[in-house]
Amino acid sequence: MERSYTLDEKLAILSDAAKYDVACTSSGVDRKGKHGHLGSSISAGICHSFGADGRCITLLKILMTNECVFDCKYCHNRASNDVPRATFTPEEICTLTMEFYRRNYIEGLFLSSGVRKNPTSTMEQMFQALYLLRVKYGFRGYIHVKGVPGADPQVIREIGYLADRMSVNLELPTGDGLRLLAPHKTRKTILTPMRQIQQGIAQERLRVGVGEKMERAYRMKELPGSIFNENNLRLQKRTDEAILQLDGSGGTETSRKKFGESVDLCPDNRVSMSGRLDAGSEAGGCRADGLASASAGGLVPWAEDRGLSYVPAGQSTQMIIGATGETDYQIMRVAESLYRQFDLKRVFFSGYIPVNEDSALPGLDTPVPFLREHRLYQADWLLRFYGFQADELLSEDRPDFNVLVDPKCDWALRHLEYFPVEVNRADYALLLRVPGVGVKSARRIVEARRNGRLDFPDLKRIGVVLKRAAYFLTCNGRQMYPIAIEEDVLTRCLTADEGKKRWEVEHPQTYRQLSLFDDMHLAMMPTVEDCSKAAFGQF
Amino acid sequence: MQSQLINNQWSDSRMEKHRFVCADEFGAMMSCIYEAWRWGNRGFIVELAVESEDNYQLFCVEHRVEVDEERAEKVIRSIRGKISYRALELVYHCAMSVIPEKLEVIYRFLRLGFVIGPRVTETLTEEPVMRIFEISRRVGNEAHRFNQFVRFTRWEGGILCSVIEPKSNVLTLIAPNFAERLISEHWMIVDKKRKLAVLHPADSRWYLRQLTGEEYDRILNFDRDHEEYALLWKTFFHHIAIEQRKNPQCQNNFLPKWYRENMTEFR
Repeated sequence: MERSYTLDEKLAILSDAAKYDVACTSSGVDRKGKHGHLGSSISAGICHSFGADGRCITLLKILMTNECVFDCKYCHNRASNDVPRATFTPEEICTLTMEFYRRNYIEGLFLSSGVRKNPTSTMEQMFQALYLLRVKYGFRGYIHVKGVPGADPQVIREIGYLADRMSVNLELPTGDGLRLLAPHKTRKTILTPMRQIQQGIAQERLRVGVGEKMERAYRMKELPGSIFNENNLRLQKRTDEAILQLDGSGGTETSRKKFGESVDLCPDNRVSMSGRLDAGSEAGGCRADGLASASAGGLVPWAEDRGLSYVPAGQSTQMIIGATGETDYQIMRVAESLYRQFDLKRVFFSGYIPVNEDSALPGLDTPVPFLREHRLYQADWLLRFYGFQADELLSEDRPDFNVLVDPKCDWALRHLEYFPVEVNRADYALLLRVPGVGVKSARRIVEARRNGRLDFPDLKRIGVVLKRAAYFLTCNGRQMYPIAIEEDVLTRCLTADEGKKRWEVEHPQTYRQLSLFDDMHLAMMPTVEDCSKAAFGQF
Repeated sequence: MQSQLINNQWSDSRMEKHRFVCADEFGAMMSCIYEAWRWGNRGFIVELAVESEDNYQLFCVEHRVEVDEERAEKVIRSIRGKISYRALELVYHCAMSVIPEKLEVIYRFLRLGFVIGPRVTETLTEEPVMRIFEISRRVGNEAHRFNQFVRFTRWEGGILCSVIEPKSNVLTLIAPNFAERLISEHWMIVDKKRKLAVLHPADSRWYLRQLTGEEYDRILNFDRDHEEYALLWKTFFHHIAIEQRKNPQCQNNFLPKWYRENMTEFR
């Protein structure tokens, strides 16, 4: 039973309960401050602190309640666990957010929740808290809100106007995994709100005239191989749907029935997910009655009157890695399909951390798969910024990432036919594929070579990591070292360096971890306007 | 006879270095650039520096330059008009650095800039351009860090106050960010080392001000650690970390220890 706690105790319980959620970004939306209100938002995002685990703290990440009728086996808050349960009132959520924000502790609020009574009523309470925060308290900082699978589309629709980002957790990479470990969730109850949010975002974007799809990294929408290229998106539709089990193979009748008794999970839904997808715009409704079409994309007058927009920073998701037996290949294909078919802004991976003992779960002494998680993020970066596709990185025959070298080096070593690349001639897409050349350096190379021919010292200045790139590049036809471009030779050269890094990733407690989470917003320069105000504020 | 003597003096002093020194303040630095520029144009060897304790040099003529608002503004206008806005931004950032040779770097960058024009910011192969980029990036990064790590305490009366000890003079670089976020709040950020504060009355413009000794003492004596929300924040900070993922090295990379002294959660 829930007893009464002080605010401090509640905060301890409900931040403890929320810490396994990965996302803590505040990026993707620009909002100016406004007189009489509190807060603004800049699209690069700002991290405000770093915890003992080295993860950034950007948002006040809390659960509204950790009471939960769901019994997901891996979860600390599952119904069958005997843990202290607490619930914030909407007022408490608001004052914490406002007062923390004022003191520059946070960039905004990340609100998730356990499922109290049922998904719809849970989300209605979350809605109340956010409505109070945005409308009554006038909060203009960042808000990230979780969508609870199975909630009524109406509340998903309306809460989206109060949030900057929404996310519905995929939880596990496959429907089978979900059946095994999260009996109260199905692929369908997860993907339905995800689709609804996607369509809401698309509609909103068309309304304000910025194009249906989310912004992507430099030139990623045009490069021929990129997953964000419209052509690939269409070509891959069927495959992606099969991978995501949109055909319904992810949710079984039994799991739904069993669940339907305790919780109202839209039992009257007769239209299949894929059927609705083909039907187009009217997707997302959980119920097949009039409410679905009205709520999926219908008008929300209170929000429009206030000039609020729908989930402007886009949608993300996360899945647990290593609790079930998927290969890296399967995971990457799922991530890729989600980017392509759901236009997600980010897919997060969360290395499985054992908190519960259960026969369906890996043992309590299972180490956190740091290196695997790290490789998956590296590959995710290759998808989002470098124009790679999952199939280029892995295959059925080679389903897991190389532990010895990073995915980009690994790809290069298997495709020596492209190398060496001549820096002064190669196009942007190819430069991006050279190990040691990042997005910034590739862009700088393309710019700088207009003014003259580049040589190795120039590359170093530009920021190319020659330790890796040297083996794959020529400047004016010359290599940096006279070395044979052969797989064995190069592998040896590259792994000599990689070995130490690998050890560090696997042993974060003792050695420094790679700055993987060096998300773009960490080293952002102030904007031009900021500096202009600064330069002339004094005069 | 007399004019010949003067001529000799001129030609003699042309062989010597002329050192232009000014206060560590943007207006003064721009006035100093103006003055040194004129001497440089006449063929004198010039060197520029901001004041510090141990910068007296032998074998050079030292000129002390005071702020001249009009001249400073001329320099700023020329940088913006004849080079580019980006160049002005670089110059301003560089001027906020603690590096002793910053003014010299700015001068040499401008010498090049007024010849090449707007393209100067792309010619990264030139030494002065590279230097100014480096320094300004370092200042920019530090300013960004303070946008992240500034911590306010609420005083009775509702004023939010923050104390920081930055290496670079970042106050004017971070003020716009806070003016945006905390638009309807009274707040101030105090640079402990420089005894400088940026003040922002609610719904109004921010301004910079040198603190008096009394003000400074009052601010530093204020208790920053026992406010209700400071305690709640500490609770949150400790509970949000995952024990199994503990990684102090990674934490240190993103949040170097010297920033922590003034951060609520580390006090």
